[in-house]
Amino acid sequence: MRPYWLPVVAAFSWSSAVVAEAAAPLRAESSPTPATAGTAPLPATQPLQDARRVGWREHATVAGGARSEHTALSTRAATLWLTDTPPQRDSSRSGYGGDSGKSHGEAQGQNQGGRPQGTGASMANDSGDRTPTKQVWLRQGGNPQTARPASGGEATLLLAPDGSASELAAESQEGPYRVRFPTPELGYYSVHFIRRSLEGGVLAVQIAKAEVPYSGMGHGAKIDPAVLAPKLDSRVPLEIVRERGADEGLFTRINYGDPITFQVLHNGQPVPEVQVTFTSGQGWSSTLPSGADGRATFSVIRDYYPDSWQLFDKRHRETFLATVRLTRPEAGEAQGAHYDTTRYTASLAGAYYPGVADYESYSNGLMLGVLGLLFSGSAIGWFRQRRTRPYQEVHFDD
Amino acid sequence: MIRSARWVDRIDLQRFRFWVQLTAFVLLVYGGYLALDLGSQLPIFSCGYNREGRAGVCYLLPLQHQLARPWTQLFSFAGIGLLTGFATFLLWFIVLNKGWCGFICPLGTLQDWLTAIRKRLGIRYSLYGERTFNRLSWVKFVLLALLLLIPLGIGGGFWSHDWGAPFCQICPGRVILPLFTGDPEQLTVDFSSVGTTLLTGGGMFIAGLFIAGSFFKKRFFCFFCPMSALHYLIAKPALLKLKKEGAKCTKCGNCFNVCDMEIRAIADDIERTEIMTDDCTLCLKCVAACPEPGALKVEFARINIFEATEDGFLKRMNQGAPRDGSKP
Repeated sequence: MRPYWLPVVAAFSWSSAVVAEAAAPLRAESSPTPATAGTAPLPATQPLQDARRVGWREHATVAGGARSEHTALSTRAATLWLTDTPPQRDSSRSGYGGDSGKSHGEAQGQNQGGRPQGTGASMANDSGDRTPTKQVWLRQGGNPQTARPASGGEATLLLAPDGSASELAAESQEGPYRVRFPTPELGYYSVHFIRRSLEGGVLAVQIAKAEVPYSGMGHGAKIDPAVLAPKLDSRVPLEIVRERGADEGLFTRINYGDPITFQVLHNGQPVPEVQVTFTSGQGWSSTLPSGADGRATFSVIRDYYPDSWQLFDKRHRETFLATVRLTRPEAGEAQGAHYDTTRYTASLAGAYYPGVADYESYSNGLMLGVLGLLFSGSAIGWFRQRRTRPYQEVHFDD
Repeated sequence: MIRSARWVDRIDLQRFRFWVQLTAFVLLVYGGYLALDLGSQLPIFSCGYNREGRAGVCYLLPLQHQLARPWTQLFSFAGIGLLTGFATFLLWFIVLNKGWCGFICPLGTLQDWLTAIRKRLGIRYSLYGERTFNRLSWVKFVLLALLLLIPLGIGGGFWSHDWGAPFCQICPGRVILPLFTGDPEQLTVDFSSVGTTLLTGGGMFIAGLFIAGSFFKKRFFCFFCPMSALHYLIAKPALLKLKKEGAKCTKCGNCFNVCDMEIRAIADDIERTEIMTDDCTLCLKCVAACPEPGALKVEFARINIFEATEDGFLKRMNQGAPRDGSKP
């Protein structure tokens, strides 16, 4: 829930806030003021000031404008990640993402009723079963905006809200990697894609994870916090876990300005002092070392600046990507060869949206309310005044 | 039995109604904190936007959401949900008829409280003229039609979902009722699109109108309430009925004078026995103010539960007067 005082004090005006910011250059060196309500008091070892000190860096792969830094790394380009956003949505992206260039309520991928269909959800699978299903796709590339669909043949590990685990085979061996899974229960479904390959004497383990919520058709129904809690499995050697907020539910969205905390776990144990990178949908990234408990906190920056108010879409969905790399002297045999070192790369993708403070205004609301009050009060007063005017005799001048 | 009926007929209706309204208001606005949940098909403005405290949700909110489903869904499996929702609403409504408006509706209660404040301040109330009254009576039916047609248009792909739940967006209940649980989140204008700007901006303006209007005019908003229009359209099978025996009516005009909704027919019409009109809120003030025995009565499932009596009228008129007959 939004803090009550925040928009009242800092009442939002579209013309003065959003348009002005849209005209300003993208803020590469500062993160927005974080909203503190609605999140648990986390024992964050990396305060937000760290994010400002380290700064947000824009990747050179982002199209357009003068770019200050170039941080594209070959390892980033090889990063694998899972997302519930279909590839078609990304393939048409340009400028400000998949929804840009559309007028209000006309976001790409709408059904007949005009509701956005940003994710691979459906009510019936191919066999005619009415159990709702979700899909996730594999991407390759450290920048969500320019990442491309990836292919693969590995099975995927699915952890259901009740904690049960199952393996999912890829839907297709050719083309973009995709898995579909049923979502019979409300809650978060964790999907893990793990790829192992030998590169010289190093075992490269890539772990891509997506947390897909299934919220059903309910509106704000209270739900058991247990089904919202992150699910862990010993088969996942390195994992990024997103901390849940205190009031978080299945309809809770991550908004611009919100703090977002990740914990890095290696075989279930927190990993301190490992570099965690958070990359926004437009390719801005920030890297922080994790604290003693493996946690790193970032502030979600606003990177959605449509050219005009008419193009703004409050349901605009961006994908963030959190990545971490960990190298350990773990030796063993794989694919008939010996390796001395294991290099883990883990990723976690998720979605974030504009916050209500981006498009709602208390000051204008209160102004209109007072206007309505004054208007009706004055109208009644005027009407009464007119009705109670003293009688005046009309004189005719003969 | 006769004694208890006589006791009911002599009841201080004003006081009884005040306590019923207060209890209903507390239960509906704060009942959510006690895990009270009466569902989402209530025939009153128990606002769904009062997320923490609500004990139930006004039926107009889910109705608009359901009608906004794509037509392919609405006219197949989603239609079942729509029908069962309406059936539940009907079952709630059928018990009290428009008595929901006069005794239970939190927004109606708020208007009565504003009226009480005005009375305490000694400010006279306003009345509509007959012509204005007749003109305004249609507004609620127009709002009801729009409330049904706009969501249907959304489902048909004619409008964006930004126009979703259009009546709720302009309803003063959405703005005002959450304030009672300390939630000011609805006091905003949503600038994310033309539709939301117009609707939420209009909602704030109407909330201002509501406060000033209800202060000067009794039950100001009830003239425009689409829920009231919906009630009237389905009132035929309702159990609670307001009846009039024209032969016993002397056209003294008491009933019209006390009517918050200025329904002239309550005094003028001596032909119809079922006298409840589209604007009536079944507050029963007319029955309490009627001096003619049996001229006005209230029936529940055809059982007479409250009727006008001379004795009751005199008791209510002398409320507060000393028993010895001396001037207070």
